[in-house]
Amino acid sequence: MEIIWQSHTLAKDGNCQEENEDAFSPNGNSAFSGEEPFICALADGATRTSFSSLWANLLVKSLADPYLGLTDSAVSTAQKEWSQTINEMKLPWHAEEKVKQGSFSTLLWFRVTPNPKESGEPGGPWEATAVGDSCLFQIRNEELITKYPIARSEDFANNPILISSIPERNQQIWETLSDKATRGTWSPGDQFLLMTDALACWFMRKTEQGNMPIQKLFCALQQPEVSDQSGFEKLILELRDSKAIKNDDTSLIYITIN
Amino acid sequence: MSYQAEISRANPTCFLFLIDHSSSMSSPLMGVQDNPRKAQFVMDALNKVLQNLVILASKDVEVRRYYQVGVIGYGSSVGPALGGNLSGQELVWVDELYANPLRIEERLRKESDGAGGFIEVKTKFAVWFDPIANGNTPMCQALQLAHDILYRWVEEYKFSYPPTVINLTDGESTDGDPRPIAESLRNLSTSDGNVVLLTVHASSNPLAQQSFFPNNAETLPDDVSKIMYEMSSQLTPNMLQTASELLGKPLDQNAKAIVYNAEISGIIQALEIGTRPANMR
Repeated sequence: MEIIWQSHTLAKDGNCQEENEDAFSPNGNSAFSGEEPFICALADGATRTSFSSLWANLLVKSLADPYLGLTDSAVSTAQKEWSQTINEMKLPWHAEEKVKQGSFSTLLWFRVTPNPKESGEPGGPWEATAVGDSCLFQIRNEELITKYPIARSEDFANNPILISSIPERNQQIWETLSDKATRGTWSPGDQFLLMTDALACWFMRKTEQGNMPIQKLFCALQQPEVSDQSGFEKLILELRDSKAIKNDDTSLIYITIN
Repeated sequence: MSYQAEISRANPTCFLFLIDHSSSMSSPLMGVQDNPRKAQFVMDALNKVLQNLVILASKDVEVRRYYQVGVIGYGSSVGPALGGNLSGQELVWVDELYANPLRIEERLRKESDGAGGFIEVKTKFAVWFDPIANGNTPMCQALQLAHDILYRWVEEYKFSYPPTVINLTDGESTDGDPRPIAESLRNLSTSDGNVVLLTVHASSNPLAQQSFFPNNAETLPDDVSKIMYEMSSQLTPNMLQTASELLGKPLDQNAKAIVYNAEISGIIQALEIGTRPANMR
């Protein structure tokens, strides 16, 4: 199995990159080749709560093991680290009060595995689990064949369910998570896209309208960087200017698998 | 559509409180002797609201400038009522508010112990005001000052979520009919909508029935309440949503932003409905 990936992010207009509360893995552009499962994770920290960037990054880090999934135990590791980090800080009273609410984030976990060599079958299975509105899309021959976890652009809400850094607040999530997980199969040449909500909503709406957002996106990703601005950044700024997407931290992981 | 603008540091909003300091505020809430004095209760509630506004704007270790806040007192005089370092300022940024309380008290708050009981935990309580109750109720002057402050504000922040004005009182205006100046105030607007005027009227009578965001004036008891009804804005979509969350039932779409003869919980709920900002980013 060979995987080529590129990942991109852009903070919302008006915020600096250090204030971007999206987190993802893997970073940058690179390739992987091997028979091991391959993991991607994407988290979108909530603006309304404090230390959401820290929380989103810890969640992504907690899912690094390719043989473990999005489980209570992985999230529990992130929660302990979050709590320890916060307790070591000397916080002003407003932050001390705010942090009692916890931090919140979406989380999307995705794993691809090759079929055993001895099977002689190309391709293999994939699995995904999502909490919140960060989305996964599977594309085969330029056609969108999987949308997860949201099926229609109108279903993007302002208040998605989020994972909390405070364990007691996640009870409802664990009760329903296994029902929400999904799986499928991949074939050589398939592409997967993981997106935070602003871009995912645009991508889905354009597809519903019969447009081809895939081509527009791929075209942007292939553009060389000009004046420190990548094709991805240029596209997102254009979409924000034309109000086609909301002004929000926006991230994308794009994978091609062979 | 109105009241949709994102509240951000580039496009902040504004909360302006008008606080009745008249002599009648020294009598107990709802006329019940064991209740706190109205002035004391209103100040406690207002300090709590300001603290909540600071915490809402808190992000990591900073307080972001999502809104400006002002307090106008009206009684023996009419003017800015923030004290200490903020004395005399009509509007201050929320981070300046945070940095300049009169004092920080430690109070005990009951919290669930997770096993069906309660524990008392120490919590910080910032105090920006002490109670005042002195003089008449020059509500028209207070509304005029609010108008003058916000007339300048909407010129400067043309595309922002419009200001919210919360008028906390226990009685009728003693300096004339407040409806015309209230109308001028409500007519101020940004591109996102008109200034919102919310009236919170504290009850002085144990038998008076609380009227919570009515949708017509017919249910109100007297001329004073009908005048206040006419002064107040219609609830915004965000206020309607917050109100239905807090009350557990939807309100009529035409509900007016007024609570008349408010009891203790009514005052607290009305203040929360008025100060939970929409679309804060």
